[in-house]
Amino acid sequence: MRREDKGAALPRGAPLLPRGPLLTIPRVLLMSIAERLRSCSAGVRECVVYIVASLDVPGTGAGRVVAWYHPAHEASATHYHVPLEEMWRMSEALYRDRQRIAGQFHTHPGAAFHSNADNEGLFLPVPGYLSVVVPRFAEAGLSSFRSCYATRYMGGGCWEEIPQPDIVARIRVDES
Amino acid sequence: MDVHADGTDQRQAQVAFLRLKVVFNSEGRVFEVNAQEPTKALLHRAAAEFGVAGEAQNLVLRFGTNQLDPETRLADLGLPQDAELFLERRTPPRGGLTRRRSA
Repeated sequence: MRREDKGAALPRGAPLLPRGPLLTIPRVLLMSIAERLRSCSAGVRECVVYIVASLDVPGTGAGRVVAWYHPAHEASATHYHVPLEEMWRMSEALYRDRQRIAGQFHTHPGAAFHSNADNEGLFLPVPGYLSVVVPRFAEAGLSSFRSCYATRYMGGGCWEEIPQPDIVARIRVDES
Repeated sequence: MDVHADGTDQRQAQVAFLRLKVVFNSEGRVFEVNAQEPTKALLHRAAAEFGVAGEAQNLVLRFGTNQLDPETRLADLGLPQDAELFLERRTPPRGGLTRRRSA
């Protein structure tokens, strides 16, 4: 992890970070996120969905996704933009409901990766924030996170890229 | 307006200290602030308290739908004692394919 290289992956030979799950998401929520990303993108525009965890769940381990939020947003084939007013509306609702944004899923038209805009435009600059990029406008869904890109914000401009084969272990899908 | 012996007017004396709740990432914490200090002092203190001091340059304080000017003194804003301020990003959330950076 190099502080000055925003978006850089862990350098070769760097110590491995803990490999436990970062968060748990019920499959029914994951499938509904995939469907919303696919339908909103409609094969022509990027889309973003924020995943929500509760502040009332005890323990400090991996967060559990309890809901998701699809914000009003502008988008084209190569960008999305959430107006500040929408962000504020979300913030106040989350505060009222004792929930927090744990991360985001957003679509790309082609391959999944994190662009500079993705690095700089996350909802919250808090360590642990998870970002998953879904390729090809989510037309293939989110099954096994195939071809997805996942990364976690570590603070101070640093990101921890999650190797593709590890995504299923770091984002645990709860079948119940 | 009444002027006190120490030169402060009555309005300043009434709002010398505020206990304001700052909300970040859905968590709220109460800060006691000197109403004469610039908003940016509270912003930096709040960013440090929430563990995002390194991001302070990307954050703003919002009261209602108004972003607070960092150079404004809290005393000038007429905030109620029980005001809730939101600490949030300066720019709207966004993403896109432009300006890809090589790893």
